[in-house]
Amino acid sequence: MDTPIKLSHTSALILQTICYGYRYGFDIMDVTGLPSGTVYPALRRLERDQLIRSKWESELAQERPLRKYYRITQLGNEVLQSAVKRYPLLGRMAPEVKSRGTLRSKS
Amino acid sequence: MRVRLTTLGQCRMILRVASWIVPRRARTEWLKEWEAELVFAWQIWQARGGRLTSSQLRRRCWGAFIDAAWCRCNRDHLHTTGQHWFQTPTFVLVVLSGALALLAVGTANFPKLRAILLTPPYADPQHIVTVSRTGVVSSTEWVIPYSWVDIWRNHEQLLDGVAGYSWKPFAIGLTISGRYASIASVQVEEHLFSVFGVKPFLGRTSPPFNGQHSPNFILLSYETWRHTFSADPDILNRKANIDGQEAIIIGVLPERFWFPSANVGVWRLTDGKSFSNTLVGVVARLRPRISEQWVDTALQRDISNMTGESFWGQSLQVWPVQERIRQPLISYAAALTTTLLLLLAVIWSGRLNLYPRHAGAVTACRWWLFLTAKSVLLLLILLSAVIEFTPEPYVFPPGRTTFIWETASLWIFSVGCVLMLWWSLVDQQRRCRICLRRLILPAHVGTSGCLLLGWVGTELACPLGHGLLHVTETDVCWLDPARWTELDQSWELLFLDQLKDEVLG
Repeated sequence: MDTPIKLSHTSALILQTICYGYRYGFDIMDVTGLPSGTVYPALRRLERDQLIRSKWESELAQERPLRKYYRITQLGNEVLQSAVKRYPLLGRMAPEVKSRGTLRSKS
Repeated sequence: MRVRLTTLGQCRMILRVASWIVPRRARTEWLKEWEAELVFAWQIWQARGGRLTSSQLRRRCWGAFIDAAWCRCNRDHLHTTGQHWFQTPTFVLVVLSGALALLAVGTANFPKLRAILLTPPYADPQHIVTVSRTGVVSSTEWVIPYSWVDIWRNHEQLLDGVAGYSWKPFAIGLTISGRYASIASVQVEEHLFSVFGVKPFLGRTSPPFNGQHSPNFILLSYETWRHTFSADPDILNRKANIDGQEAIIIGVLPERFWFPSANVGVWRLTDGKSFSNTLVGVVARLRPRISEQWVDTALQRDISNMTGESFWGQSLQVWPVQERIRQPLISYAAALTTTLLLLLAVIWSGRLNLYPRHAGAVTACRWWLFLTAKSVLLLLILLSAVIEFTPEPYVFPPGRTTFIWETASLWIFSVGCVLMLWWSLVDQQRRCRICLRRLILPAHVGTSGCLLLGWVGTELACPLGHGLLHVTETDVCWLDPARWTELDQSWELLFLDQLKDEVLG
């Protein structure tokens, strides 16, 4: 039996932010207020543990390079559920996105 | 506008610099992701004055260094790198060097080894000899009656000086200025140090001439003075207490001087009266161009003439001190040479299929260098451990206990030599002939019951895909016990991809 993945508070917060629809590194920083030196290594760890999956934008962007976005996986959802139980305040810390891609308006 | 462009340029430069930390294989994608985020944030800011200020943007880019550092070195990476590092030849050499360094620290820089190897601080040490009896049964019969020493003193044309000493060191309780230490000590004739021609480090080596003679003048060894009495510069002429008797310290002998045993820390001077009717060890200085054999015959003849001693079944032996000190090394060298010859014979016979016969000069050179360095380090560890952890080297007489220890240490060294060099060979066999990494992925091949019909053994692979080693399970005359199959470059991808992902980046 595999050892269940236990997330730190920060990783859980980032995972939840991605789950809410903030899919880009800089967007996650804007929402959570965490510095880039925390967010990016956490994203790499989450991806290594297969809790999120990264993909390059496929649509042709105008006058800007393609961005890499992150999506939560099935496993990520399950781990997030258990993390929310462990950290009850987690649900209140990240605002659920009403209109997805606020910061992606140009893309 | 110019400021904003400068900000973007600065941020790009920060990202470029940070990207150098990222492993090469992931670098392009990493930089692409960061630059895309940067450009996007900058465009929004330019278009409608986004929430980020230029300093915030720069701060975010500085965070790229932490991300890059994580990509370069994280816990998984360290774990994998560590696993791969254990396979490298560097790991073996570092471990062996560390063991040698630990041994040096644990023994305070190999005092016994240095005592044996380095030239003692005597004047003309090749002229210093011990005189003993040979062909005796009891260990105490090696020593000489003190009355003989008085007879030999008259042999001025042969000997430049002769002195006796109580041959067996014994422990004394020495107290100086309230500091107590239990130290090995010997009693020596007061002119023994002039026979050696040794200059004191502090003070003098002979008692001061003041009309009166005290038998309780003592000299300390350099190590005792330095380590036990904290290198006290005012120790001279200080009163000491030796097991309740008063004594005066008149000198400290130079570093590396030891006699007759390396653990002796105190020499008690005596005028020789206390040696009357006792057996003593004898040390003498030969005059230049006088051979040991000549002295041997002359001294024996003197004793026969003066005392009527017949030396039935016995004889006198005159033996250079330096040769006696280094005698164990000669035995060790003989044992080592024999083992090395065996080792070379095994390598050249090709039985273990060790040597990379078809490799280039550089690979062969690396192979030999590694084998030599590994073996030399192993032998140094063994030699220093055997010498440091057996009783002190002892000049004369060997005595039964010393003889047993010398023989035992020689056997330990000989067996240790064989074991260590054999391990060195086996380790070399289980390494890649090209990159010298430890072979991995052992796979059992064949069925033991079908020995005559097929090959049975274990196959191991080089972690970088240079080749495969086949080791037979049972020695069969028509099979090599080990066979190395070199793989061509087409195999590299199979092995390298994972390794590069995990370690090299």
